[in-house]
Amino acid sequence: MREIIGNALAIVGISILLAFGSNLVHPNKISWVGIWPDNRRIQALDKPTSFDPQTDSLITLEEAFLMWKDKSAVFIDTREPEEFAEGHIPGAINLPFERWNEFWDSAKPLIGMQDRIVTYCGGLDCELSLYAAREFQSLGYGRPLIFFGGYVRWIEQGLPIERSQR
Amino acid sequence: MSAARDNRTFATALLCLAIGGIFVYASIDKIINPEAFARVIHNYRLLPPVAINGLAIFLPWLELTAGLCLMLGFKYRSANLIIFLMTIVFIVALGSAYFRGINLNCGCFSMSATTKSNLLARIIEDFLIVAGNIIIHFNFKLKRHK
Repeated sequence: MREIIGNALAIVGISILLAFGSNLVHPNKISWVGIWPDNRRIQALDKPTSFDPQTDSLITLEEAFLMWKDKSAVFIDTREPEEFAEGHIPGAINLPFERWNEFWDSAKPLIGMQDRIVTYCGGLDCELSLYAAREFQSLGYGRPLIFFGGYVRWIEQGLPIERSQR
Repeated sequence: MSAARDNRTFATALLCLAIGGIFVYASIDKIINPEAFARVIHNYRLLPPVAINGLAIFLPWLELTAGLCLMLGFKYRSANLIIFLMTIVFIVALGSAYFRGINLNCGCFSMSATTKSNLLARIIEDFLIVAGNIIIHFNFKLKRHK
């Protein structure tokens, strides 16, 4: 049995070497330590108090993260520019809901009518993401997805952020 | 190598070929698409984030190496042990997903996002592989003691 285990460990060792070598030259190589949210505990879907299922679509941190990773959605940060500058989801566009008219002209060219839109704000005690999503619908965009957990949930998980860019 | 191969009965060698072949086949898509496999592992909701990519890179190569050894009869008892242990881990992971009601693509053979595996069927398949591992192991012992 000792010989069997010894040889098994040798096979494991060879596999580690092959994995290491292949990941050096692999055209689709990934880093050994990736960026993922910790999803071992099932996350409850954060819901704003004025949530209306007829008009609002909520997404979890997990869903928001995967869309961000795939670059399959445009992220709209609805907080104030000062908060945005301190840190935001990388690639997000700053469109403060309370200063919509002031920021809309610069944000509009960055958002395609067919784009999937994800709105977020500070999270949990902030409903600006919800209002912004409704505003997008009234402007003729597709139904945006509301990441109500927002920036708070994002940084809780140690996910990447970007600073000082609008 | 040859001594180990000589000890195998025809039926054991056939079983080694089948189970080894399954693991070699299962490893290919995962080696080609490590990112997709990492996503599958993440979706099992079992591992801390830091372990996901490393496992996604390493596990397919272990499947390939052990599968090839089993098919070729090279250190096949050791390869059989590795495949046995891996399959037990797969059963635990699949069973955990099944009982927690997680809907996932199991990542057993294909990384395609459209493949929705029937978890229970995959678990039964894995039990059959474990049965095969046990037959391979004891068949050898029975022959040796004759």
